[in-house]
Amino acid sequence: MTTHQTIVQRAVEGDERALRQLWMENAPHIDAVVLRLCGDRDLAADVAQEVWIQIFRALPSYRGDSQFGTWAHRIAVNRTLNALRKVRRIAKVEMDVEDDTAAAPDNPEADTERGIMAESIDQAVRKLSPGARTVFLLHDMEGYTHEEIARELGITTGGSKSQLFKARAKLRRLLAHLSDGFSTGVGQEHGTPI
Amino acid sequence: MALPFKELPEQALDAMITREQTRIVAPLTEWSTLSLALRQEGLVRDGSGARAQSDYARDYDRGYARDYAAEPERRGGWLRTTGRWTMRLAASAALVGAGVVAGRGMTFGQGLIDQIQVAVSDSVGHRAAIHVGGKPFSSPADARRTLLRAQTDYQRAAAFLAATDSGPRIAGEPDVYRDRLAGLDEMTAASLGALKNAPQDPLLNQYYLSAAAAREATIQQLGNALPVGATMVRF
Repeated sequence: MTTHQTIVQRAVEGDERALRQLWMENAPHIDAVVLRLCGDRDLAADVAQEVWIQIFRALPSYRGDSQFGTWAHRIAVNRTLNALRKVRRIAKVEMDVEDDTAAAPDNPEADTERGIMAESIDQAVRKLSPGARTVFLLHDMEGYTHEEIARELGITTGGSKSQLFKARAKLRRLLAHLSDGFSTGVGQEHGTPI
Repeated sequence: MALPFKELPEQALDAMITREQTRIVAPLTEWSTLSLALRQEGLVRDGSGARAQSDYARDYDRGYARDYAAEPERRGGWLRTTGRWTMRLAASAALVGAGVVAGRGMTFGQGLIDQIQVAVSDSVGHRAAIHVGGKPFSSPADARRTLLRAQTDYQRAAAFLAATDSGPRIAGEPDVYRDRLAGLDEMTAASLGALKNAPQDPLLNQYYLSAAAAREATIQQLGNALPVGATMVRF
C-alpha cells in the first residue's frame, strides 16, 4: 500500500490527522475551482466548506483509480453547482443560457468604446453573463463536454455551444489589449463598414 | 463610423486558460472550522485529533509522532496567543528560502548554515532582514529568478536523492527527517495563514509552494530512511 493510499485509508477511518493532510494538499486547487465557479469570495468560502464535507463523506467510494485531486475536483464542481442552485443563482444562469438577451452587454463596439477591459482572465470571466460564465468555466476550465454541461444545467447542447462561443468571443475582446505579446494573429482587426 | 476593435488570438486565450487552470488559492476555510463541521457529521473519529502517544509510538519510532499528537493545540496556541505570528512567518519564510538554497546540504553541512545569517528585527516594524553569503543580487527580479531556479533544483535533487541515494546512513537520520517534517508543517501552515490575508501575493505563494515541495521531498526521504520492515503510516 502506498503512502498516499495509507493516508486515504486513515482518513476513511476518521483519523483527523489524515483528513487534514488531504485537505492541506488539495485545498489550494479545489478551493480555486470553487472560487472560480462562485465568482464571489464570501459565497465561495461557504461553499468550500460544504464541498470538503462532501468530499470526505464520499471518501469511502474513492477507489484510487485516479489521483485523489482529480476525483475530488469532480465532486467540487458538482457540489458547487448544487450549492449555487440552492442560492438560486443557477436558476438565473439556466434562464440566461437559453435567453440570448443576457444581462451583461455583449456589444463589442460598446465594450471597446466604454473602455471595459480586463486585466486578467479571471477578471474578464467575471464580466460575462452568468450563463456564459458557467458554461465557459465548465467547458474550458473544468473539461466538461457540452453533453455533460447540458445535463448538469438542464439546457440543450446547442445552448451550451452557443454560450461557449459567445463567452470566448467576449473574452477575446475584453482581453484584446493583452494581445501585443502574442505573435500569432496579433491585432486581428474587424472593421465595420461605413 | 464605428471604431475598429481588436481581439485576443484564440491561441492566446487558450494559453491564458491553461495558466488559469493551474492557479491555486489559499484555502477558503480554516481547518478548525472544517474540523468542527466534520465532527458534527461524524466523519472524524473522536480522539483522533489528540491521538494517544502510545498509538503514535507504535506506528512510528518516536519523535515525530509525539510532535503530531500535540500539534493541533500547539499550532492553534502558537498563532493565537503570541500575536506575533507574522514575525514567526518571516523567520519561517527565511528558513524556507535558506532551505531551498541549501537543499539537503543544509541539514548535514554546518558550513552552509554558517553562511546563512537570518536576522529578525523585532524593533523595526517586524521586518525580517536576510543576508545570504555569495554574490549579491542585482535586482528583485534577479533574486526571484534565483529563488525559482533554486526551488526547482531543490525539488529535482531531493527527488533524485530520495530515489537513488544508497550512501552510508547518518546516525539518527529518520529523526532528522521527522524534525524537518514537523518544521515544514509549521511553515506550510504559517504561509497558508499569511496567504489568507494576501492571496495574490507572489512572494507568499512562493514560500508556500517551497514549503510544500520541501515537505513532499522530506516525506520521500523519511520513507527511504526508515529501517527495513518499518512502514510509515503517519506523517
